[in-house]
Amino acid sequence: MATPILVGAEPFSAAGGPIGVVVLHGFTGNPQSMRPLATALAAAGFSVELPLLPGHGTSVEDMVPTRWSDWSSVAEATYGELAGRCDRVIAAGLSMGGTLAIWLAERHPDIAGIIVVNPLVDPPASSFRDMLSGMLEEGAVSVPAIGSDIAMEGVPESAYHASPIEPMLSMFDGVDETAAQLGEVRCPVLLLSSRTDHVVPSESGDLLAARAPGPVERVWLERSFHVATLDHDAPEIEARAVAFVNRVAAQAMSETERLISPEEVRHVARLARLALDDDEVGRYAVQLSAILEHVDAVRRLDTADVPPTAHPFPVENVLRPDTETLSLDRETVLAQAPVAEDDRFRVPRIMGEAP
Amino acid sequence: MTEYETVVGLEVHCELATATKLFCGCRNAFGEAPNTNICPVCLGLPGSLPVINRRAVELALRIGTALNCTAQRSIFHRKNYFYPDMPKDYQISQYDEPINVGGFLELPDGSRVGIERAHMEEDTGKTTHVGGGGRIHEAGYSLVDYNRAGVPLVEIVSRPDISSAAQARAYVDELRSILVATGASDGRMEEGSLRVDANVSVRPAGAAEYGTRCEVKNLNSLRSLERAIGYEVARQIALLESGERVAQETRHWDEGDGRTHALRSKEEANDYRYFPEPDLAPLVPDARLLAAAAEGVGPMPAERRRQLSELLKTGPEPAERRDGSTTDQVVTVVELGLDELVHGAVTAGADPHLSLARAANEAAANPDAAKLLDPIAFAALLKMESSGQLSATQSKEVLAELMTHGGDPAQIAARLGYEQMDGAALDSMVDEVIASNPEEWRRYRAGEEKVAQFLLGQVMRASKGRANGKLVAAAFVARRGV
Amino acid sequence: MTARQAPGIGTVTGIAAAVRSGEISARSVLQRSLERVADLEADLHCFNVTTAEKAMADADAVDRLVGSGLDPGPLAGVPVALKDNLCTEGIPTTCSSRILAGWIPPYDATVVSRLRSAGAVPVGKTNLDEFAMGSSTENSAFGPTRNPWDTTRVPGGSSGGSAAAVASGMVPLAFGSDTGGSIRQPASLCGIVGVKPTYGVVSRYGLIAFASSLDQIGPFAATVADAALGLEVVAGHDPMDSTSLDLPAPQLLASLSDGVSGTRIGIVEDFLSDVSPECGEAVVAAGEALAAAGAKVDRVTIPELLLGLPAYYIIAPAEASSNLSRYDGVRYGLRVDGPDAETMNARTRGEGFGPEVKRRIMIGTYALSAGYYDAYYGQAQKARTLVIRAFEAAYRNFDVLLTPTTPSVAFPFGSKVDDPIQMYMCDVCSIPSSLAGHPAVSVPFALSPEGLPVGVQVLAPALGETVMMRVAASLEAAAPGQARGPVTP
Repeated sequence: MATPILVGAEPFSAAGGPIGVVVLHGFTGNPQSMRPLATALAAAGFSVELPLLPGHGTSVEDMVPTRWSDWSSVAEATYGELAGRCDRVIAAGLSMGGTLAIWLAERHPDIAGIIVVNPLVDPPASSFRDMLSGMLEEGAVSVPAIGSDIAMEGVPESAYHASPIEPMLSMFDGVDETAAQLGEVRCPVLLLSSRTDHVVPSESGDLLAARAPGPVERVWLERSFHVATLDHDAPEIEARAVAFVNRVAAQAMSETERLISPEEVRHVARLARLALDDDEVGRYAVQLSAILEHVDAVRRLDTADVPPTAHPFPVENVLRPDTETLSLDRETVLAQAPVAEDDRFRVPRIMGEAP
Repeated sequence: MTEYETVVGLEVHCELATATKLFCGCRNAFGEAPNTNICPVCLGLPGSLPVINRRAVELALRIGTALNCTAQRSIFHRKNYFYPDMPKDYQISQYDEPINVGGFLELPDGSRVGIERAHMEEDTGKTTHVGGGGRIHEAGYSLVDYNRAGVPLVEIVSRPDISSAAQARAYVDELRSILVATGASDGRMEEGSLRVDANVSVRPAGAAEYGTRCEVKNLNSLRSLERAIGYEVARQIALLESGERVAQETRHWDEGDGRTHALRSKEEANDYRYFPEPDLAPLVPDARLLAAAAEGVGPMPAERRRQLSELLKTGPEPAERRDGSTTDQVVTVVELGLDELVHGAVTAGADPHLSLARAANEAAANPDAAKLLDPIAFAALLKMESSGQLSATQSKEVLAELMTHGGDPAQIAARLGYEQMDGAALDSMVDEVIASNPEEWRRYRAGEEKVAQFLLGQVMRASKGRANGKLVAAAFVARRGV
Repeated sequence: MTARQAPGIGTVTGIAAAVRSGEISARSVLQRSLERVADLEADLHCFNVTTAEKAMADADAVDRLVGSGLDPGPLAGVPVALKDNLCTEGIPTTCSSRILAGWIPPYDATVVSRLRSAGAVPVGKTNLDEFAMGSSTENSAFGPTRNPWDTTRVPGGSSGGSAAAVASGMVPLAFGSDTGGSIRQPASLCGIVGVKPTYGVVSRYGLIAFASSLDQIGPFAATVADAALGLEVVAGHDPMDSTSLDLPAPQLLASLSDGVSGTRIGIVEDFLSDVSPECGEAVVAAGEALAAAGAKVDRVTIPELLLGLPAYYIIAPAEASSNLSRYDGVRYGLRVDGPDAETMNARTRGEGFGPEVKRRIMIGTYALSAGYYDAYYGQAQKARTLVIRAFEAAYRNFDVLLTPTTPSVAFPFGSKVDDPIQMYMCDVCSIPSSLAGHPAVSVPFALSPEGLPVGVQVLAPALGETVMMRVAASLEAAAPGQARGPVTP
């Protein structure tokens, strides 16, 4: 008999436009902590999915047998389902939910962006983990809870009152894995960090900001503790999240929609003899796509029976007589040559044949 | 074994004999010190602009007319690609609106090869590869001379109507004659005035579709052209016969080992991104240009051959074959520019066939001198030969003397002692030979014609060539008689 | 905004007259100009290079001619600044690009020769957006130029250096180039007059090409009369430029003050929306001023003109991608070595060109490439025809048209440079006349609430410079004095 879901902990789902957001709650928490954010995103017109992770939102006993892979598979499945019906998908999460969002970004290069609030990124010291393992061996099942770290008075987080050890250790393994691959987070990141966080130290946010190669926008929340999504700065989080989603959704186009792909940029750069590195290729692909979209109006014009204009004014037969004029002094010209030899211009070996 | 047909199209680049380059006033000259004929325009310096050379347009129109093309309104396009010998890294050329379209070239044997187009474009600089094996991709580095950059070119593109290596050679040979005749080019292949690329493919005889073609480059002489096409055709046939496909590629002819070699394959085909040249105005072949184009141009080789052949019809058929076929003689005489001489001689009363023969065989030995021959004198000499006054041998001697030192044929003949041999002297010489060769005489009288040559030869020897062959023969015939 | 009006060193017409009459020496005029440069250049960065010594020699030569009773030319002794994409023999010409850093042209642009023959004294080469691509001069490889009216703001572009040099009174006359608005927009942002002539009226020989079918050279000056004189001197047929019209230079000064009575003027409504309030209001006010002076002013809508921007941003980059191919490290300029020629080319161009130039080269290459030519370049040239036809229809009913020069006043550094589309929008009002090859002029007419200059643009049909400048002169007469420079920061 399945334990009933706690009131307020139900998953949240909102059908909206072609931009989707996966919203993920934290360890021992449930959708209640993320509902205001999810609601704000839904109100902005996005399609939102806020799942209830396995073992959460019912009773702590249900959580004991669950592991990182259970929660990450749900995150993955939710992402996949949204990606299937949306043009672009963003992932948002609090605490371990943030870790899961980062984990998704590492696996899905076409994720449009991630929003993480106080994510756990910096793996805890092994001493701490050893201690927990020790407790396990001694028969302990859980440790006191990490929930409800909220500055605002009278706002409880509907979280478990205890943290089961085995799932916690499994979560730390997941954090290890995520931390190791931060170099794969190329999408835009909105990182919201509480100045005062009694659960996740600020080093986690620092690590993410330092290692993620994509653009990271970091916002400090001055008036909230760990569960900032329910705290004083909640409205700011919601506003920034909505703006972020709007912005990155416009920038990040899926492969089929983009007007010029990185491959085409490489091809054009080759034709034009411009050496570009991978970063530049990606950046120019976005910028050139935007420009091409801007000039698209011309492509769609109906120009049947409209002749092209090559010259503003039709002149013809502009000719000169076949008489000699002064040539340049060779020394003057060769003095400007990057490399000259034997009265000629010297170049490195030519690989191709002249057409 | 399948029968294959050869399909060849030729692209010939012809440097125009203008005083200056196509878009600037730098000298258009071969073989000068590197980078001495350059200016901001042909060097493509920032800020420079092209201005079209009027004479180049006139010569291009002239070539078009000579190839029976239609002249039309044309524009220039930019052909964009990077190569160190290209100062602007684009070539100003013509693309889909070229100055001359749709003509043909008539070969000496009467066959015709279609001409797609003959358009204008600028030449590139010259690259020398240093180090390595001298071939491009083996070279250590390259040196560029821009003297040639901007020289006006006309590119003549034939239809794929050529069906053999020999015909390809004949095509280029005739085209060269035409280009020289128009004054548009000096025709010096060895100096690069004329450059040929061949597009070669094969297909089973009677097939409707074309086979895959290869472009063959580095054909620096007529001989290379013929050899290369021959090789390439054989190569392609061998591939097809062994069940393989012919790859479409550009191949380089190596005169040394007598083979074509595929060039290093490029990553992708060139995308030239042609667009109309915004710095130049269109060309319209107006009355002024067309008149200037036509001015001072004589008939083309084909027309001259025709006129010469017509001339031959005005004279009597020759009694015996001359040395060399008439058609070959006509071709030779026109090629060497001696047809005017022949026309002049015939007008002065010489026999057409004899004039042609002597011009094609003897005068041809020294064409420059022959061009200076006075047609009247030439005619006088030929009349002396026709009438029997001079033997063929003697006539040739006098002609040689005439070409070297000029003068009057009758006086030269006299000086050389080629007086008409006295009739009595001739008779006595004939009688003496008959007396000295009784056995041969008996056989001749019996009807052996072969012996006549021997007897004739004896008389010629005795007379030291002064005897007139015809008269001697007649003398023998008379004595055999009764 | 701390700029205050400050008289320049004199007007073009005034200086020329005084030098020709012997009243002042060219040397002394030059001195004043160089002092002004010395004072302000560190703050404004108008110049890539100044050529004081050569200028002294030139000024002395003018004075000698005057002294000998010979004609020193109509611009005798006038210090002039030249945009650094004009070839000047023996003087480095860089287009504000690293790829041409240190290049010394072996020849003078035709315009430069004509200026020198007219007795003008070139003082230096001014800063620009790299290869004339941009609307703020922030794309210069050598640092931006600052607007004399407010040094936290851009002077506009691409001819920002020339505009700022005139607007700060360093020189009374400068020349720039205009492809989509690169003279007019900086003129507006700097509170001075800037003219783009009819395509073909001024020779392009020696102007380092950006977009061949659009580029034109034109003058900057503090007054319409000065700009008109500058244009008269450089205009006229040049056999070295096949696109140069076979006509003598236009005569503009004579009729400049004839007024606008009966002149039919159309305010193009399509450009009044999507511009800042002060820019739109200035045009309306300009219309009223001209009406008060006797012109027939009406509204007109020409929606096809809005096709101009997208068509331009295909055509200009396409031509530019070809014009800039020659910078390949082989014959002059920067070379970054490589194991083979192709790699050397790519590295040289990768390092030598800035991001905006690269963007445009790539868009242009793309628009011309196989499979895309018809859809982009081909279509754009047809859109161009539509723009030309729309203008022709409008000019059946109007002698000139009136629009904002540009959608905003001078903007702060960094505010648009990261967003190419935003930057391109600066040209929306100036592009259509470039596409059509028509002349246009920006006249300073008003100040924004923050005290920044607002220009108004007068458009005329091809070869309509005379009526255009006459209207411009009327506008100038009606405009408040403080709306125009020179100013000191």
